[in-house]
Amino acid sequence: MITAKNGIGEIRVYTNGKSYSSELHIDTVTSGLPLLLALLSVTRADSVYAKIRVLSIALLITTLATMTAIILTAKETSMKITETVQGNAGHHSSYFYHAVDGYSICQPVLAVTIWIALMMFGSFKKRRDKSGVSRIHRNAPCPCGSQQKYKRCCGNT
Amino acid sequence: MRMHRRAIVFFRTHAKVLRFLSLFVLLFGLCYFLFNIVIERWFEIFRPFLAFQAKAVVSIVNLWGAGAWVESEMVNSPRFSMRIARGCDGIEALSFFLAAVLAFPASGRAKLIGIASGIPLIQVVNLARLILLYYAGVRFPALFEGIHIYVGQALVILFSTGIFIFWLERFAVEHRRA
Repeated sequence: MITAKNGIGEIRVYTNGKSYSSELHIDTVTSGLPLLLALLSVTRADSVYAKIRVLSIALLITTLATMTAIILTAKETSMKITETVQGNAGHHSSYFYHAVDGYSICQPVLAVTIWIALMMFGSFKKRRDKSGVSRIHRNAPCPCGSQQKYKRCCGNT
Repeated sequence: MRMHRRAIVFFRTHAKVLRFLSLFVLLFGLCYFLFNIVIERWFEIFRPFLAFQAKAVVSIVNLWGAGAWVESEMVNSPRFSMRIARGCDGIEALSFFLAAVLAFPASGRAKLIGIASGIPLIQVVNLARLILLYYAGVRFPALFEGIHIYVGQALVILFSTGIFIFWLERFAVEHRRA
């Protein structure tokens, strides 16, 4: 039986007249999300599109990581139950426990790592068009340094 | 075919970044394995270290008349008590900083300077986090859990990131002279 209430997921199994359960507090595997969203929000992006792009990438990564953590918790629970019924408690299930526990503790590290990775990949910058030149507004100062408008200088070719 | 070419261009353009990130993840995982599994389970060094941190917290808060005392890893006082557990000892921030410094392509001297100065700084920041948590428990007990989960660890990691960026600018990256 699987239940979820108030952000706590519980897996309960009845076998041989006994009840075995495992809980997963959802905030332990998502506690880095507020930090990540805050870091992405305060980092300057070249455009709204770039900002939306980095937020989408970050949310996708954290969703995949959280789903993996939930799957590992379910795996740990089933292994724990099997080991308890067979009488070898805590033998192999502890490896999955350490993986999920490590993921929970290292949430802020994951958030900062994703943020730094997105900055290093240049995700906050505008995408260049297919010619390899980023779009310059016609009335903006020409990037060649002539102090003329782009439309009267390099954009006039 | 086009996607394949774009993927090749992406990996070629960002080869150094990918190398740094891969090495960082590997080293961080290694540090986690070393500290949390090898040292904690086999050598059990962490309990005395946590007790030492509890004593440090008590010594500092008693400077302002908190009347606190230590019982192993527990910080007790008439108004609030807290236990310093694994995860609150600054080891994750330390692992993060160590992995970042070792993964970044810099000279051995720069890395040694970074590690030697970064480790004590991070422990000082962690001690400040523990004191902040103590006073949060005394003044705002209802908010303690939220501050503990969302604010405390995030602050330490952010400070570690700041120390890493400072080390990058000061020691690791050679700036071209104008």
